[in-house]
Amino acid sequence: MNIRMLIYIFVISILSGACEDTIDVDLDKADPVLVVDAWINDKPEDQVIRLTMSQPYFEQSLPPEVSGATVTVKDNEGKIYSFMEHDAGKYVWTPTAVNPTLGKIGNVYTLNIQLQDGDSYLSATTMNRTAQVDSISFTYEEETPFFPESYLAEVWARDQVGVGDSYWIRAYKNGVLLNKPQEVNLAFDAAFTEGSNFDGITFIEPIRRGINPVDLDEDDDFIPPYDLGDSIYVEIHSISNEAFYFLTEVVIQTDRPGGFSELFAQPLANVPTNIYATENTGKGVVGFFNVAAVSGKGKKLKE
Amino acid sequence: MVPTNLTKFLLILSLVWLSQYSQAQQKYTINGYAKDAENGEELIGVTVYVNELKVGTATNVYGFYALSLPAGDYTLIFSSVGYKTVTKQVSLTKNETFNIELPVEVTSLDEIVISGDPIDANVTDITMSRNELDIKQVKKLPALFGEPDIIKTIQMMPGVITAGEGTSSFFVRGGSADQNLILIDEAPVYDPSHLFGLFSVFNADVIKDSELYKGGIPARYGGRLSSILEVRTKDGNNKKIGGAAGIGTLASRFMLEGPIRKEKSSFIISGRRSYADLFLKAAGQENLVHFYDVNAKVNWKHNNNNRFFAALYLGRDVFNFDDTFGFDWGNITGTFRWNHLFNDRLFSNTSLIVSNFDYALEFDDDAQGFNWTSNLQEFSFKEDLNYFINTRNELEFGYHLTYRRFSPGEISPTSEASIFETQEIQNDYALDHSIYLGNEQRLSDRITLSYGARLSIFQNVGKSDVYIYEDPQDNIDIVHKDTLHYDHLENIKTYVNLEPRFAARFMINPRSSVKVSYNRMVQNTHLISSGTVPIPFNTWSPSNYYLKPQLADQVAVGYFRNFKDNTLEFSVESYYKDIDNVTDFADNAQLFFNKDLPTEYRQGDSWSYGLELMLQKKEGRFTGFASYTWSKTERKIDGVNLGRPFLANYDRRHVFNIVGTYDLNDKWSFGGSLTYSTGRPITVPAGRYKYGDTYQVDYISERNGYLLPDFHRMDLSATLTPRKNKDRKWKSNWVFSLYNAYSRKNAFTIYTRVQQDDEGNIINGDVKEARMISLFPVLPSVTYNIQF
Repeated sequence: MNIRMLIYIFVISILSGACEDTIDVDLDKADPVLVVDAWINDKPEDQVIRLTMSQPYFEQSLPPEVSGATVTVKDNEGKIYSFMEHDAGKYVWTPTAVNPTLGKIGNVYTLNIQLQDGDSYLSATTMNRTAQVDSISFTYEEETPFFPESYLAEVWARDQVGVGDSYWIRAYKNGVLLNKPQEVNLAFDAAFTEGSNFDGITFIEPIRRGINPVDLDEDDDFIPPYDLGDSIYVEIHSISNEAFYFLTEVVIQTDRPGGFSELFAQPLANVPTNIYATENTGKGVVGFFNVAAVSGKGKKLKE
Repeated sequence: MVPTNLTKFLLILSLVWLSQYSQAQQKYTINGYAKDAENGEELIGVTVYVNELKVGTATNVYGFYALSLPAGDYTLIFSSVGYKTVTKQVSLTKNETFNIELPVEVTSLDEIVISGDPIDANVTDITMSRNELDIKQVKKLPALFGEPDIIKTIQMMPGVITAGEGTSSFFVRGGSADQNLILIDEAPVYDPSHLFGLFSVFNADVIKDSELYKGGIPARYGGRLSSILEVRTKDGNNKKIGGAAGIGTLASRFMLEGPIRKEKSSFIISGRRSYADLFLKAAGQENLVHFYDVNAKVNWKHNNNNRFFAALYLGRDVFNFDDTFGFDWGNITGTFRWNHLFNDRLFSNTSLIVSNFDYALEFDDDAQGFNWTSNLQEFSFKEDLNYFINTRNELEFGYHLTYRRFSPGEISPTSEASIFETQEIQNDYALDHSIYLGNEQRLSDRITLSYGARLSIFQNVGKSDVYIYEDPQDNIDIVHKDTLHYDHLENIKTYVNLEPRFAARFMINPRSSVKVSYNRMVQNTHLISSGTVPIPFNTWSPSNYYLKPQLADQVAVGYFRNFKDNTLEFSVESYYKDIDNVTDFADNAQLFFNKDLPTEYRQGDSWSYGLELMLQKKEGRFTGFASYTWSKTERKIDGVNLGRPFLANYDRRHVFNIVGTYDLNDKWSFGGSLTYSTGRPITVPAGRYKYGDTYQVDYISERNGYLLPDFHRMDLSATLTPRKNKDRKWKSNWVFSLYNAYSRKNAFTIYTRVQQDDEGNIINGDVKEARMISLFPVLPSVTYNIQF
């Protein structure tokens, strides 16, 4: 339960007299910083790392790509994976017959980025074990005042025994990733947060059901998440605890309630990063590096 | 180290007295209480002046005074603002007791009032950086929804800053909102807000006196860094039954007071409740919100040597939404006091104090229902003594013992099927001993000194488990290296701090003086909140294994001048304050229900300086004040804003306020206030980046780097007292208020979001826009008051 949500509701009910206006804000220009999007995994397919620069806040422009960098990932056994620039700012490693996948559970991976201007960046992470998708089920739900009659999907999986496993559960409806901030489904062990003592058991219900798309129609009514004939594919990516924290903050920041609650909200701060400048340490950098082990299963909704 | 210094200090102090005793001749003591002639309330700060010797004193906070004089004939002059001056001839040949009653000064509008007081507190009093609030004036001032609120007037004082309208928080001389010690009848109030800060918990009907200390804080106060707001409630009329009631736009109140045994004992009881929810319920609304306050007090004056008081405050806010979830919070405080005279010159006040603050959140749902409660309790024993040594020395000393229990949170499921299990964040316990000693010494007609010290011994005690972290500053990858177990009341960590206090006043001439002060303050209770304004769902933590005590050193210097026979008071003060270990939190700190909270603590430095001007007129048809403050507050904390200095989020460079009331005739009086301040800083993103194809993430380059627009607002009020009142037992009046008279849209805050239309549909996911929130447009209100 988000404390800020409660206050937000309070505000709506009490201060309906309050008013809001869009205003012009004259911001100081900040120096752009390198943005590293490095989420790779052990799926037998192309692995992509994207490098861009941050943009002025209110400007509408495409993110400027960073070209000409040397991008490598090295593991603790000395194996080097080179990422080649395919399109501007898009660096790709392609599986080969010798190396059909990237990564082995338990190995430590080091990301090295060498920019053309001489700056270089480093990051290290471990590929963690993941939870296996056991099965996917659908349940039929009667219509309620808030929700139409619908089928709700549920993914069944058990957290690995031992405290401190983080997972990112990614669902694809008819091949399309559910990627809205409200649809990001993260698990720390079998529940939402660290220290909740849900270890080594089946994911709790809100996580099992977090694979249903949240869509509203034009009248702001919920659209049934799944219909007969829809297919679903669910992947469980192992992520580091730092990555869990990073994604949590990304969701909070992209989904801020705004309004009066901002006064009580924690101060805005950058989401954390696990990437460090090695050459010019004063240079800012944002983004994240994670190497995931992935399990997955699909199902089609039939009569 | 510390004890040696203290011993030395005490030694010097005792030598000072001894030297005075050796020259002492045969002396007698005059003492007594000063009271309001109409209702028998003890009066605080009444000056008692001996005309022949040109010396004087003032009644203490319990209305007691004592003067030690050589045998002889004297003229004693008792005076206080708002009361007629009383003169008494005394032929002193033995110890005497004079309980004096001062009649209320009825300002007839035809006569020109010249007070011509021989003593004026603004110039002659040793205290500086202190503001008293005249509750009668507060009631005549315009008020939001017609609820008179002393905190709103405090927010207009020089050196005091607000975060914006609609909050009860205030920020004194660069201190954050949790650095104010707010006391009601000596009991601390941990959250003084109703409706998230729209109003304070102080019901104007029962307040007798309130004052705010911003600097030069006497040794008897301790525990918070930046200010002491002391609110004292009435004892209750001990001559006749009386009462008051008011019907306002938002809330109604009543008050009843009277003697239990005439002149011996009395009671007062008062209540206030908001009633918007009753209308909403009638209108079929499910979302219900209300708050209430109850104040009650009884006192028993056994004789001049023994007086007993018991006071109770309780207040609560309750919110309910659709029967599925609700939350509530409230304070309960209780005070029992015994005033005792050990002899003619030794006055003692013994207090037993309890304070409780708690909140609860409940969400009623089969799958995710939970009940979350959090509370804290404080139990204090205080022994405060005043020793009126002679006309040149007045000693105060005492011992305070406080036990605190902090229960940061407990979650329990509301149904069998709930995903929540009963869980509790472990409690914290603390013991706090303080001894203090202070002396006010009149060196000569021109120079008065006040010096003293407070020794604070703070212990965080068990029962508790303390986690030892591999890196206590790593709040992401938390590794427990070890756990230390502590038994019930076992010492975990002790912090000993000596807090020196000093003040001096130098009279330039009878109408002007210069004052200087220095104080060190220690704070061992820390508010766990990173927002600008504390919310009731914040918890507190004692200094502990990881959290160090916050320390503030402040020096202040001021010039005080009266004009026009003391009717106009002027002061200019300047201060510098330095805080060590100011408590802040890591970026993106998770402060709710976190058992590894210590990893979120970040402590560092804060410094603040400013200049404050105040012009006040306390008597006559027109009364009021104008204040101007220039100040700057910065912080530098490792792990916050990359360790670079940043402006505090309540920092405002210029603040200007005017508050005034004018009595046109015996039927109409008018009030008005005007406030202007430069904007406070907030954090806005400097850039953005796209992540994972969909997420627009903000990039922040500096904390609190953007200033909100200037804030200004004018409020007006008119009080109508019908003429027929004079002949009636029941007196009534109407107060009409206009809040934000010219309907200025003041920025409450600014936030950013993806561009949306009026319905909240996203226009362009790749474009961001800034939104400014303003709270109150022009708001009229009416309150009807009766008094009997």
